[in-house]
Amino acid sequence: MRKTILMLAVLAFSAWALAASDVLVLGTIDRITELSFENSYDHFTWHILRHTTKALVGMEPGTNKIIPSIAQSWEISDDGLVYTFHIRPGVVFWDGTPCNAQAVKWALERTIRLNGPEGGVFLIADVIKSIEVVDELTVKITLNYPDATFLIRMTDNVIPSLIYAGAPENEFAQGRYVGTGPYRIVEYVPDERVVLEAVPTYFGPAPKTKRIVWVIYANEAALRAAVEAGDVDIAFRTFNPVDIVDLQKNPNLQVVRGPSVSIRYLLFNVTQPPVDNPLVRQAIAYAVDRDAICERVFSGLNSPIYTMVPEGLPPAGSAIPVFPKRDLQKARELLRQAGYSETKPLEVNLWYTPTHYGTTEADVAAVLKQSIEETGLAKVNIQSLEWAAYVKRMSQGGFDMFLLGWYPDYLEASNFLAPWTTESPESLGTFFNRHPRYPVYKELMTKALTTIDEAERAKIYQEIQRMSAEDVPWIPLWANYQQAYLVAQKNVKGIVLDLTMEPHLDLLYKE
Amino acid sequence: MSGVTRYILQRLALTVPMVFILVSVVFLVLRVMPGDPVLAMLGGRNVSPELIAQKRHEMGLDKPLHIQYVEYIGGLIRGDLGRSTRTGKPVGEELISRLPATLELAIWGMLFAALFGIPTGILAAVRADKPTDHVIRVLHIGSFALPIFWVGLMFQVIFAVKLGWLPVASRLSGRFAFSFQRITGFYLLDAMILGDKEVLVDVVKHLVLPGVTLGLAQMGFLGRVTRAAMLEVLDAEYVTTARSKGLAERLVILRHALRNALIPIITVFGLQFAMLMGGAVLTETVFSWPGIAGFLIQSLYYRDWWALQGTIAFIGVFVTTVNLVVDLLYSVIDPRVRY
Repeated sequence: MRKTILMLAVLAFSAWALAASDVLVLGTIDRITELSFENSYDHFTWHILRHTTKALVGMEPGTNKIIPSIAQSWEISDDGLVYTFHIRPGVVFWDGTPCNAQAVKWALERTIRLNGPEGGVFLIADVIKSIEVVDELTVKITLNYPDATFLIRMTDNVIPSLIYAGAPENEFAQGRYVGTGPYRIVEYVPDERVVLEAVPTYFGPAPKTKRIVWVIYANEAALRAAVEAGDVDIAFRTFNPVDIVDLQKNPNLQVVRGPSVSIRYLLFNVTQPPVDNPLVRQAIAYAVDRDAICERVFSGLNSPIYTMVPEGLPPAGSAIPVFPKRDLQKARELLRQAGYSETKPLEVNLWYTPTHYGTTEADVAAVLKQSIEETGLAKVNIQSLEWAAYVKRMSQGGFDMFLLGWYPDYLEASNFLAPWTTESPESLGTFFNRHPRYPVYKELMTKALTTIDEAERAKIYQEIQRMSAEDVPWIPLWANYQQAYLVAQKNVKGIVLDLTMEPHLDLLYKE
Repeated sequence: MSGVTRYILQRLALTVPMVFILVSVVFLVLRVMPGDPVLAMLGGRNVSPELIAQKRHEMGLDKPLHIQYVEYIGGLIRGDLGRSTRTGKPVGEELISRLPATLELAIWGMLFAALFGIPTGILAAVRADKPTDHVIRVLHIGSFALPIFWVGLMFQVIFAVKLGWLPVASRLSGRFAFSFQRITGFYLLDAMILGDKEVLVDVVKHLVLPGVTLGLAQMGFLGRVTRAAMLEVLDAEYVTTARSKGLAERLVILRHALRNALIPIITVFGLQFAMLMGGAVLTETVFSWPGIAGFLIQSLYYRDWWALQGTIAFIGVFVTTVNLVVDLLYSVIDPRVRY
């Protein structure tokens, strides 16, 4: 009798353990804004959307190699204007509807037509001229102009490229859709949790964990405590730097650092005195102390960068470190050349926003001020504005020197060069469109985007980077690895962090 | 029409201009504050000025201020609080989905405050200026003088991280997300309806730390008020009479003194409860409690004007209603009060 009870207890425990390990709980402080392909543009919303449905092409986990997804193959016309995609047979949406050429056309056209102002639809809308159904499983996309980045824009990294069905014809989706991805959303409670369940009809490899729950925490301290207490299996985005250093010492946890394409930098409004003088901007580029920021503010977790383009982004070899290492002597020479002296120092403002980039921003500003003032020929006035007021003043040209951050719209070098120079110089506060060399940048960028050959394109990007070190519209400061740290319990396996700075949910599992 | 009905109607009629003034002030203050909802949403991104202009047009921000105001008030009268620019959903819907979380926490917090604040307040008054009174007074002042976020963090470190007895934050453990079902939004009630013991225990565990943290600050204040109100009535002649009639001290205090001291206590209790609608910001933040206060803060960061206006109007109506209920309770507590 006692034996039977013991066996029953063991059985019950195993059943419970099995059931419990079937659910993987992740914690974050990120939030969903709106579950709409055509009207959302933030990291966490995009993460959820891309795990619930797929695009024509994808990216190999952990790399930037383009791989087949809904399309099993494709051809590009010689003039680079027509892309013919062959859809994988048998792909279905969660409700069993086949995902065919008509469905692809409907989804892409709907997204482009609805083009929500808060979405990133322009990333595909500007380039696509027409979408045609050739046959049941073949779809032809014609472009307005040859675009070397088009396939990258059609991956599931760019949410407007996702293929879905069942969304309202003329309203934003707001979670109303059926997808083709490995998971479907079972429940979304705003600011509280997102519950995902594996879809048996998914065309790719079956997810390792059937049930995923993202618990949304309100702040970094709660996220850290949750993973320490074992309330979550994984905690991801975003920790305080000191917390990561502490958690690395915790023997019960594993801390994984993924790649980072998030960068931080200083910008100049090139029309605003005194930074309208290129000598001043160059001098500041020599004076900034990236190592001090990385060590003193970020406990060595972030790495200094000397160009805007992150390592490893396509096309290969694009990134070259063009900005100088710290050289106070050179900085002083340039400032003297610009007419400044000990008695008549350069007076410049340094603007930052106190919470949008985490609570470390004030410290960053203090270190920057100190490093520039170390020349003995400059006085930096630190100024701050809360985010909403910050961006307003920035787009009105109200800053001379200011801090900003970038997370890419799509994974290609151009997205780290064009926005502040040729695409949106005014809304991003540089007003570089009024710089004398603006037409040269514009011409080079146009040439790059129509150059299909990757090596050739990389050379053009290198040239733009070299020019930027002379004109200094920006000063690249550090790669933001702080957001690429994932902390997990020891029994969590299959952690693959992508260039999009997120884990592949379908590969995660608990032992 | 009975006196009570007339009184209620009068009070409700007064609510209308009050909410109107409140909403008008908020409307104006938001537009005077630096920052712009469109740029807060799109700024820092690679967007064209045309897109910004288009969005401003869609949100009606390109219209003159007085037209925007009239349109907003018009919507409000029809019960339309506008659409949140951050989440894209109607503000009313957002508030209704978050209200149960806030109410549940407020109820637990106030329950804790009442259970510990009122008896200790009575005890302090009865033992006025004796060691017990001194100890209780220190506890009361200490409990509302301690910063809530610090207390919350300490509780998390001790009871969740170090001892592992209770969860750190949130309302439900992730592992129960599949066995739980949101029915009313009041998780305790939902867990009872579902009848799953494990889920029920989990929900209760999640309520303990935020409930106690929130209740602590309220407890101190309530205790202070109770003590003061009791001291006043303990000197009254009817208490001396009760004692001289030979009534047990317990009965003198509870039936004769406390009942007469209840009016200020209930008033403070009601006000505290109502204020928790938007005032539990720190507790909701520390414990990642997805309620109205958290929504208010997020909306502020994003200059989500419609969400801010709607939430404040909602809180205004709620506070007024609670006040009305408190006023009506006076007649129950004190038969001399008649409407």
